[in-house]
Amino acid sequence: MGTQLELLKNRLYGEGGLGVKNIKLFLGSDREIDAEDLAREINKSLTHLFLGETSDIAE
Amino acid sequence: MTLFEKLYDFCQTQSLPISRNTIRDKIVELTGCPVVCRVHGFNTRLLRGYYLASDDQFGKFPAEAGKTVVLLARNMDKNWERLVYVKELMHVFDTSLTDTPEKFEELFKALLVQHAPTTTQSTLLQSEHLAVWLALMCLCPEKDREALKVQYLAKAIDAYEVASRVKIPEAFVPYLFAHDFACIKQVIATVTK
Repeated sequence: MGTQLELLKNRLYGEGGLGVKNIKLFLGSDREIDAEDLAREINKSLTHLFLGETSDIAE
Repeated sequence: MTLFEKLYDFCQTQSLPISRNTIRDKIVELTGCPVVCRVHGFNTRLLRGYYLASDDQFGKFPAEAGKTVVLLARNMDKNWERLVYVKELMHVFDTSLTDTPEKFEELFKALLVQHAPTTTQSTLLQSEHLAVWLALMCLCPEKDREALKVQYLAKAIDAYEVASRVKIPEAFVPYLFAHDFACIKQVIATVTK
């Protein structure tokens, strides 16, 4: 089991984590991607959400 | 009538192009589920966006506390942004939830495997695919879909013009004109809240 996917599951569901009830994904343009690369991308985005470093969508 | 059916009926009263925020606001009104949308610099080769509903009881997301989050890739084409946003919003109506690490891993791995759609597909994976169809049903009222289909089949307009009028990526125009598009309505009540 990859490190990034384990980290991601722990952040989403682990003790002290987000208590996720539902998460769904819209994948990108590449059809053959590595699970660890995808998990890393989500982990990076969670870090930016934690740090308040995401932006509002343009209305 | 399910909540999605109420949203669907509402969208039938709208004119093209339907604002994503109009759809979002109606969802919030119907479900009482507050949604916040943020953008982030995803690598769009990997990911265009995600839907995240959580308890966040520890307040890890200060700006999004108590809200369902839709996170979208920054710098997507506007039509892609609309489709991804509305598709992710459709997960408010999910009945198949990734509420355990085991279910999440099942979905995660299923998404990475390319295979033909089958009746044995995981219900979690089905919910991902269904959400795209639901989004298109909300973005294109049936009267407009039927009118565009007639013009498209008569070669009076092309896929680019359909995409430009509905404001969706051109790659999704074939979904609108799939022979079984209308049949989706019949299964909605069984697979959405």
